[in-house]
Amino acid sequence: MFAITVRDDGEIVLSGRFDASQIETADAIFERVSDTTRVNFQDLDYISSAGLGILLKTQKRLSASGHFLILMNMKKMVRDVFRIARFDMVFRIEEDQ
Amino acid sequence: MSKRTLNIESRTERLIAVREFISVAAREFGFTDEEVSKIALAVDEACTNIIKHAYKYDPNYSISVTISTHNGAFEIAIRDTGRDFRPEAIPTPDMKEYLEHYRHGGLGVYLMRSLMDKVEYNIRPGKMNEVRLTKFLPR
Repeated sequence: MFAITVRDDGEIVLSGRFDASQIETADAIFERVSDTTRVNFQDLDYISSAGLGILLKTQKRLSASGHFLILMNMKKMVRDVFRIARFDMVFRIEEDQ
Repeated sequence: MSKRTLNIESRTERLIAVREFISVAAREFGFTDEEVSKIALAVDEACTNIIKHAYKYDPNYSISVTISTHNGAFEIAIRDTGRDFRPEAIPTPDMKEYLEHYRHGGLGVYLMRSLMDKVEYNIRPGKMNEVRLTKFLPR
């Protein structure tokens, strides 16, 4: 099960498991992002390279206009995947917000 | 030595069943929850690559996932009959360069190689492609 919602303040909330079966669902939300945006990972249990790819693609597009994603509240497993893929080099990751 | 196999259709919706199959066996074999998650992710990446590149998202094919365990080794053989695959054509990306230039593609292979102790390929052109992932129990 995967869910992606956008709060009134623009924060994107991810939950469940973000694998290759969820690319279209997630892309439909992320492609509408045009400003610096917070992404809350609090309830996300799993992410594969498919999910990482969407985040990287969004970050690339935003960076052209000086904006970026702020990734928050990752569980350890998800944080480990970011570290192993070295994605923590290009994303601002905040803990326990 | 013990063996068990799961066959799935070539659909990304089936990745969750693969991860569950791997997780149950890896936990039984003695890996920690953290190691179990990493092995399941590596196998997810291998299957995703097959669905995407070997079968081009055609769901009318199947993928076979076989787990063999022996002497502290947990080995997963993932087989398909899709397009010929040349592993040497997929270099391990330099992640610093990859991220600085926001590249795409090759990330799944990078994760597989980072998460597992061994990644081997057995390619029989026109017949079968096999990727074998191995993780050893810590001594």
